[in-house]
Amino acid sequence: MVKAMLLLRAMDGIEEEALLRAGDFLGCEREKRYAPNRRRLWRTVLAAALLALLLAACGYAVYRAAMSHRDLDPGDDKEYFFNGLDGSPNEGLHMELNFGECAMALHFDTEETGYAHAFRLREGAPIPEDWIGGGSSMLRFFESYRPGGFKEPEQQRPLDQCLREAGMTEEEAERWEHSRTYSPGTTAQRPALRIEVLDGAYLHGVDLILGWPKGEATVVKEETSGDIQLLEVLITVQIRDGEWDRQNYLLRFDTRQQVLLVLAAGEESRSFTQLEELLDYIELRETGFRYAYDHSGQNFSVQALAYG
Amino acid sequence: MTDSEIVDLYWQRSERAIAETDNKYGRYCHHIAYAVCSDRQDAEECVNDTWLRAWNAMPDKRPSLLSTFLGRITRNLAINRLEKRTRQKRGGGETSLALDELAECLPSEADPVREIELQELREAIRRFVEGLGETEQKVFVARYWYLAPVEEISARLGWTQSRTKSLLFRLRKRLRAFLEEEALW
Repeated sequence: MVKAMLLLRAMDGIEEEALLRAGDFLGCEREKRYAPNRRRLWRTVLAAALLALLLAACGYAVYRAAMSHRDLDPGDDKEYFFNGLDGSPNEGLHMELNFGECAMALHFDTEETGYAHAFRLREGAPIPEDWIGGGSSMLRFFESYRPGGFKEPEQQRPLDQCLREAGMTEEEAERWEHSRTYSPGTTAQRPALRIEVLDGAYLHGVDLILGWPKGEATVVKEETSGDIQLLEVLITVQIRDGEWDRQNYLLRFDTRQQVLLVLAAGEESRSFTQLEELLDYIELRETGFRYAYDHSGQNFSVQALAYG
Repeated sequence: MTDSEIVDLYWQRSERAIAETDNKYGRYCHHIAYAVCSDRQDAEECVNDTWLRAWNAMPDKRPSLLSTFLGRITRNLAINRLEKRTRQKRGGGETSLALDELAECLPSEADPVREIELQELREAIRRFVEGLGETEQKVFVARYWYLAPVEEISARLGWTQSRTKSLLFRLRKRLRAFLEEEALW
């Protein structure tokens, strides 16, 4: 036994490269911040980030369509509700969300069956405009908001036409379509979104973000204090051939309560000190909005439809 | 934070070095220590001692690969702890099994206390591992450096356990022959 112990010690002579290779083979993480099934949560956070942007887009559409009288005072129930989720794995999942008078549908294309996770979204106070950057090149509006109630669109129409119907001038619609960003004046109206994972069985606080067919996400900064994890995630997505979009997302994840907060997105990196300040600024509250999402497919994609 | 930045913190004698090291390599070192000790508290203490050793070692040392530098310290500390414990009571888990297996490779007359012998053995092991094929090397290092269970190695390779055990048996046999050639047997 003692001699074997000597040999065990002598294994220390093994070269670093061999140790690294074997460590990688065993999945030994040399860095603390990643956990084994991070791919799933990468998707989760991307979906969360997408959703935040999606809602911002919807909010913008509502705003542009003179719906800005909608009461945004803290504490009021916004009457957002989940309309339904149907479809099959190979055909994609289709869901509809109703924003009071503004309806929005999400279509999820996935080729594999998987678990659906439910999220509850809560709306907070508007984020200061200088905290928010960019929009989402990953979202596409095929139909715009139309007053007069919800109905199925008969056919998909060009984006610019939809946006003009939503109350934009041609120039604005063109700017929207091409830049895919939101003007500071509008994004300042965007509320912070608290995304609570209702079914957290497959999620871990240190497992973060996404799988995307033509993109990737990297945790570029991470700090953990107690149950709270602060993350900055750089998401790179291919918009079209040769064109890539890069966005930094600042996220706060409560590992105990499994609550993810998407705080800001933009092209610039933010410091965590700023993030902490932002957290102080935000007041969260519940609106009863619910959202479900299927993250299982390798060919996961998201399309957004908005129609009234 | 990069390894180089963390090492700089050690050289600047900044206490933040410890926090950054723990943040980046705490889990890795804990994994190594736990594999040896099979005890969470012991593993935790080994990891904390590792930070202290690293603090005392830098400066003068400037490791290029912080992970293996720390990993080696942790592993040695864990083996020390295990040795101390096994003097009173034989340790359990994978370490004991691995030690039983490794005992086959050493002569009964060997004197483990002499540092020079240990150094020669280290050098021999280095050359032995260097001469192994890619999969053989992974399996050997996984089993006898990381002390990974045979089940885990088999699962990662998609092999049956008996196939993995068979490879390990052949590798031990080759190691024994190699040590004989090196006059360490």
